[in-house]
Amino acid sequence: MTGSFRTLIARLPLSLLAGVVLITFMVLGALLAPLISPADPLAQDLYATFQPMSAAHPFGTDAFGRDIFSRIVYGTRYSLAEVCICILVSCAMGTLAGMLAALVGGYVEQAVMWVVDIIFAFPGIVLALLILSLLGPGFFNMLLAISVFSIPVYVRLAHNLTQALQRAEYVEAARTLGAGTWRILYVHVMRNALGPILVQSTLTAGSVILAASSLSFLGLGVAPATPEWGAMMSDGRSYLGIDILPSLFPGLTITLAVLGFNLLGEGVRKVIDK
Amino acid sequence: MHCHCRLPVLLTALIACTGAMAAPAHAGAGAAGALTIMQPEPPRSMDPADQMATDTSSILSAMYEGLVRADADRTIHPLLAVSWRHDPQGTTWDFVLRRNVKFHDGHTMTAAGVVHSFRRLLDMNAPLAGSSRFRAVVDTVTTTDDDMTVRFSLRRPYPDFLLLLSFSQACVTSPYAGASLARHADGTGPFRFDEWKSSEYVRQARNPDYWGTPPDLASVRWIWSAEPSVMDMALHTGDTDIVGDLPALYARRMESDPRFVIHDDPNGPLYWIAINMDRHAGADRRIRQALNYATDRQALVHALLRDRGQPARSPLQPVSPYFVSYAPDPQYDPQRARALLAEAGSPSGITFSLAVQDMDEPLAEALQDMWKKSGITLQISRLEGGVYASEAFADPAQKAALQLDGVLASWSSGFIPDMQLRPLFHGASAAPAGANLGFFHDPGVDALINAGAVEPSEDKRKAIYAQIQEMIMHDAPAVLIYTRDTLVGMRADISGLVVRPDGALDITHVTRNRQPHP
Repeated sequence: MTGSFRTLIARLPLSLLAGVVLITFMVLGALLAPLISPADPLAQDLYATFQPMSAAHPFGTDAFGRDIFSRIVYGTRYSLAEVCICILVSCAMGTLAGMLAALVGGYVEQAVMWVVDIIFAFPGIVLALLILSLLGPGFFNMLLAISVFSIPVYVRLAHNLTQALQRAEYVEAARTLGAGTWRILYVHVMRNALGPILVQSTLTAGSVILAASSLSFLGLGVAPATPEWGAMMSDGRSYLGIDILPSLFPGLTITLAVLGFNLLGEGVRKVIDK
Repeated sequence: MHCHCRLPVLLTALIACTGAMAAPAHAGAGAAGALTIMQPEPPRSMDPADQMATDTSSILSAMYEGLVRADADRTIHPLLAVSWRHDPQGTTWDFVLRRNVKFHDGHTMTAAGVVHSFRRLLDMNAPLAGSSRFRAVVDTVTTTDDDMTVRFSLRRPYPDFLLLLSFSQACVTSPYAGASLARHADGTGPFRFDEWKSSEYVRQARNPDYWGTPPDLASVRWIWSAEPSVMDMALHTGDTDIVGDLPALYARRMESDPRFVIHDDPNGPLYWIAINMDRHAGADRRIRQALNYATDRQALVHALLRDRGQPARSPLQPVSPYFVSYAPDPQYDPQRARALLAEAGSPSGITFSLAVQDMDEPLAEALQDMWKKSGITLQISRLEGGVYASEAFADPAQKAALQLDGVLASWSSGFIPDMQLRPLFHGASAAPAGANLGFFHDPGVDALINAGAVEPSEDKRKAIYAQIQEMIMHDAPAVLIYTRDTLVGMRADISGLVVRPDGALDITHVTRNRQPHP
């Protein structure tokens, strides 16, 4: 048993393992945040600001005397929520729209793909800024904005996959036997397209974190004092000349998280392609 | 597609790197007799009457002069006027002008020119940004038989009239400047306007025809950045010689460095939260007092100002000669705050929504955790400058629609108590008309403010203002937080800088030791 497990591990790509390890750390951090963090991420001590790294404060304290390590640990919850919600929304909507467009064809297909092209033409972050200036800042509005600009990738991918699958003999056969659009979509297309879409979603996870951090950095995301990584970097920016820790550690964490998701996506792709 | 997202993150990393590299400063900026000054804000206009901003006033005060000049300790000195007298009631003031003073455009200053300058300031038909406080005091400005005398007729006696005249809005502009004044300064000051490159710099050159002692500096360049770390870095690299309004955190690190000196002026702005009297939290005095007891001002001064400021114990700044504290002792008492909330029928605490400007957000964030200990949940809406101004000055109906319980604001009045208490606490100044942002209205306070403004006897004024302060501290229409010192960071070889009562920098007599005066 252990032997076969070992060989299985050995056959998996290194990037997948590294990605899984990093993401596991992140998930554990999010789940066990109250156990791991030494302090309340919101508790201030105005007489202990900008403390250096120590046993009590592994990453030091910020401008309000809050423990940076605890804030980063609690921040994983926000980052994972961002990733999960944005990917779920954009993947579900995008895939469905793309597959339906390809299956139905005609004007519907043209209309959907035009809309997608329009969204594609906008730089993602600009579109997000536009949406946030219309809806106002806030955590869920930010997630909505990121989801919207992540949709087109899935539409295109699903559309192309479906078009290729439609010409497969078994789909032709099912159609001849009288199967409806929804049945073909569910039984034949979706199951076969799942692999590439899964790869795509792990790959977008990294960019979701980056986009969310950027928007929070610009003050359009979470409410003040929320331990969100991008917002923490932004808060620390005013104090860079005095203490680099409040910006440095959230920045490193964002880097690691994005790296983790990218490695995971790369690994999944390798496994599926094999 | 997503590469755009990376930009802000990358940018920070870059700033961080340059910050680390900038530590060894090189020799310093500029040619002989040149000075560079960095301020947080760009200038709003080159017309002294059409602006109310401290940073703009600093730039303009090098090029314009008023009839009188005030020192940091608010003593008045002659400037364009050599002497003055007033009638016993204090409503008619005659100023005798200095002779042989030339504007930068070459014309000689006359009484008619000075009158033209003040009529422009007071013109109701073309209102300028800085005019309202002068219009409230000055009725007419006229020439007299003597062609070097200007007469001011006041609406009412105004004991601080000379101090008011020293403010940058009352600077004398050339009658020949016309509409170009907004972009091209034309005054009598020791420096003349050279170039204003929008979003980059304002450059000034020594005025060779200056009537007084010529300045030591040959040229001055004003630049701006709102980023504290950029200010700090520019001073270290020598890109600037003086930083106006340096954040206290950076001053603390700089004071131990022999290459720099910090000028600490205690006459800084007062920060306060105007409580909306029309909403639940503001309608009950016990809740207003609870908010005050929940505020640990000493801790805020320590963490946010690095002790370069004073906890607020009165609606007047501690530097004011009329300052009297009626603050409870101790001022910070979370137990008392909870008890007061329970008395007011909210034993489980209250929720308070507060509008703050971007740059004051740290103060609100600190209050949020502090007030939580007294059972007050603070909801912060952080607003960009323009949106903030429209919400802060919203009328009662708009504030009700926005569900705003309070507004965090700051105010600097330059020693004149009437300019502090009237706009912030007089019933007639209720927003949107004035800066009474919480709609506080007490007929007794209104009457005393009116009495204090016209009372010629210094002792009686002191008594009146003491009474106003006591009434306001007791009624607690605001959470008065702290006064922040104005800090100016400069290279150690610079001397002679004056911070005037209105907060503007006066660089007329600045000298640099590296280029000794011949």
